[in-house]
Amino acid sequence: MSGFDFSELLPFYLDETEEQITTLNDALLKLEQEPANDPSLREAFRMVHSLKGSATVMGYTGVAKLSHHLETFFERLRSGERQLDRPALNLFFQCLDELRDYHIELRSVGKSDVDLSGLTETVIAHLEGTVASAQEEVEVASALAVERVPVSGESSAPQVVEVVQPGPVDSTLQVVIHFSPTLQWPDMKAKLVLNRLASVARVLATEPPAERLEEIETVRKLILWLETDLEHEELRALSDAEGVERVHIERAGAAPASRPAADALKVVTTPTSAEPAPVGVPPEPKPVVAAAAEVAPSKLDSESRATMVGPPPASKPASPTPAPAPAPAPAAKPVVAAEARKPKVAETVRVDVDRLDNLMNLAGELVISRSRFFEISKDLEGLFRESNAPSLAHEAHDRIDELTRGLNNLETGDSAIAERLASQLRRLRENFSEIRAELDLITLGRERVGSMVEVIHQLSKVADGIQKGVLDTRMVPIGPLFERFHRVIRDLRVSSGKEVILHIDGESTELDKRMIDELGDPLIHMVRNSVDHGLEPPDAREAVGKPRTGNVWLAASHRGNSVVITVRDDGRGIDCERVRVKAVANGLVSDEDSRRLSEKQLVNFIWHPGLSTAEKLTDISGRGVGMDIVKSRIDNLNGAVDVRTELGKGTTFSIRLPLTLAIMPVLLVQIYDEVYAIPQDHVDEIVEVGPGQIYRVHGMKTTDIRGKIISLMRLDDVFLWGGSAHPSRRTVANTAGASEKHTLVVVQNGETTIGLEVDHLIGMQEVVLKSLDTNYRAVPCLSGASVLGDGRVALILDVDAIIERSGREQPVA
Amino acid sequence: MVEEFKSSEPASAGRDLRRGDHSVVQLVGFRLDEEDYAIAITKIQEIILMKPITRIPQAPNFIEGLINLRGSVIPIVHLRKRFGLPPREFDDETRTIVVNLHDRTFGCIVDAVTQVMRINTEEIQPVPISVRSMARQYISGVAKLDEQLLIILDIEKVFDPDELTVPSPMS
Repeated sequence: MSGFDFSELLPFYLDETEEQITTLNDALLKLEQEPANDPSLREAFRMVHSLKGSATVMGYTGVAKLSHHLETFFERLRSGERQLDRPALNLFFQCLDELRDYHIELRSVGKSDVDLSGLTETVIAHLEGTVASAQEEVEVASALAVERVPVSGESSAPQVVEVVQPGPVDSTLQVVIHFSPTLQWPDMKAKLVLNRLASVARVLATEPPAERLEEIETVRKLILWLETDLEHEELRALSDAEGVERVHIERAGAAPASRPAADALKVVTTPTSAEPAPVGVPPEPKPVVAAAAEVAPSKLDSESRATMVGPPPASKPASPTPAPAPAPAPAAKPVVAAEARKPKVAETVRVDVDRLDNLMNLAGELVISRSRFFEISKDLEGLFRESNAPSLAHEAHDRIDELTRGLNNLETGDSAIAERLASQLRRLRENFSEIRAELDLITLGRERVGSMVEVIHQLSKVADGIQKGVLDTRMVPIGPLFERFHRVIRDLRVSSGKEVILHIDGESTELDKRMIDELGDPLIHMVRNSVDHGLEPPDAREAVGKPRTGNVWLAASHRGNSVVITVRDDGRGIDCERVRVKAVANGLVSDEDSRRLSEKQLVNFIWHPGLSTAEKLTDISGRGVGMDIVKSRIDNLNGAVDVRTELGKGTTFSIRLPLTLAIMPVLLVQIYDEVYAIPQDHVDEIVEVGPGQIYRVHGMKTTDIRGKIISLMRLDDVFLWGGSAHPSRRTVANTAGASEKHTLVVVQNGETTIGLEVDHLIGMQEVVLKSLDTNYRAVPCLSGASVLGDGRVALILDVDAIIERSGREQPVA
Repeated sequence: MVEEFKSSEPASAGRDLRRGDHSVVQLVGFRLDEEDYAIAITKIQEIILMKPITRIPQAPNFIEGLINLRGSVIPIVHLRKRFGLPPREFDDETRTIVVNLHDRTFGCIVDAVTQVMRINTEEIQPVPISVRSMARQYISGVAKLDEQLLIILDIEKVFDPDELTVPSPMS
């Protein structure tokens, strides 16, 4: 989930689009002069493609559709299926002008009424009987979330599901999770479940809102509105965790108005379902309609279906003799949430990344100081808490008065004694006055502390805002990085003699700028690897009944708190047997051992330095370097890389990365007197197990989490401490655990799950990641350190490495 | 002048230090197991009181752990352990000397910080042969100061990244 409102992207979109239209214009002009100019044609194609991409992201359906058909047109021109003629050129220029007008209006008033549908029809007509295949149509249709409305035609609806994102019309579900009243840390549990669901579904809203989970300490019920195509049973399994009493799933009614701003379809989610859908439908159904239909399908379906007549949507197969769509009556125009898109001055500033890094560090410090302030103010509040000292002082004062009076009235024979007592009393009175004055100061101090606490709260908000703001400035779309691969693929096409098409998806996914910079090399290695090792030569492909042209897909998407980038090919897949033979030949594993390894384990040898399965060396890859570099680079970014392959079908590499290198949501746990941070992404759940639930398998502890046997590890056993077991381990008797319950943090790396035994849970927190390498050195199984609110250092665990090592772990003596 | 401290060979270090005639070095003196040591002041960033230390795994035993120095995480070397001296409880006099080496910052725990002194390089002599061989490699020279012998440390050797790696239990 990206944490921003898409309308904020408008200025960038406009700048980008302006550039694209200008470039497209130049390319067309060149093509007019020399119709066979390939680079210009490619350029034009690329511009139209990018235009489609960004318009899709922004939800400008009209632009996206028009550019989609233009793209198809250019694709035909490129493949030579069509020749560029004068009428086509004229049409292109006309499209260009219309697109320009559309965006000029968009920039000045925040929305655009320029109608592109007529032109779109004309383009389709020009493509004539050779209109894009239904498959391609659907691709666009579903990419535009908007078109998941019933109008887009029943015929294409079923295909939507397999092509792109999940979410046909009735995919909004309401999941109600009831937690056991005796559950400890229900807020953490709720967060975990939310995280887990967010990784497979789009979370539209939650009740209580996600950001307030921590404040509400006794979460007994969590309601989520999800958009997903998962089966109820799958969802139920994912929602179920220790401490969850029951899960109730149903088709969603109306989601509450408090939907998270993080949602890309923010504009879409604002209307309440009570409002009927706007009557009359524009050429491209606007988001409002979609949302209304999505939010309350039961209520609105029939109504919207009935009212959604109008010009044929472009995704319907074009008739051979299409007439330009009738212009919709102005009154029928829907009220798009125009207020949300006020006109904005589109201005951007280029900033040196180092400056941003510096700001980021400072913001991190600020947040740490903030937490320290917070703790100090808590302590102060404790010290200065209300007391009855002032009233006691008042009483004591009265008593002294009383005593003085009594003494004066006392008839005594010895005036010397009386005199002495009187003088003592005077002095007592004086001392006491001073103490009272001091007490007054303390009372004043208490008030000051009160107002300081208030100011600190305010400071906290500002500090958080600054940190978030700085982080946001670092987030950039991955698109430009992906675009570079068109060129890479082109060059590979030439050098390898293979026919390849590159498909790009999710180019608007945002990632920390630093990560994008670091990702370039590993991605190039992987893409080259896919083309060189993955894809077969055209003849070989034909021989096995595949199309001559191979495909490489490059895609990015958000999953919870991480970004997943996949490089997929439809080539021959990785031959495990060949990997095995190579691994044995290179002495990485004995022949006997290798035969016991699973396919998965064998495939993982490709990450080993010095293993390459390419039979011949080429200048592209095959030197046995590359994949190990890829792995170490990804490791350095705190990411994980995984490979799935199917012989003859293809190979998919997935890189999972944190959204940013700078901060990380973690679960803080305590072992002996040290605090460790476990990245929240890896935490599956927290369970307590009794001594009877721990079993020993070959001396290794295991336990049973709802039927699944996982291995257990005490966190301090993962490491050696100064060459032996943890120092506290030697002083604390190891028998203590025999009767007690054990707190387990169940962690996973996507495939393997293990339980880490900890002493105490502290809580969830966002921490600023500090590299250990800066002043010390990298430590295996630790991804860094962080400074906690009390100023102490906490170590951040590298769960991937721990799990990887747990596979070949020997118990520490 | 200071560059001369970087001399790598302990045996030649003393000579190096003496080479620059009549030049003066500024040193920070500290105590370790009743002996007087010193580090060139130019390597020292600051001297701080003891802070809570977070133990770090997979480290040699002389690495005491990590501390937070105004937001930076820096490692702490226990100099007594580094030199194989008997351990001792931290007390009011215990200090951490924060040292800057190349791009890295780290702290050294010492029994007490004594004084800042100026020493003429001519007074610095090579390490006597009798000094135990282990400690010897960290010493760049000795100097007679009043009635005491001052041991001048080659701080770069104390924190050599190559020595920090310890095999993990699971590999």
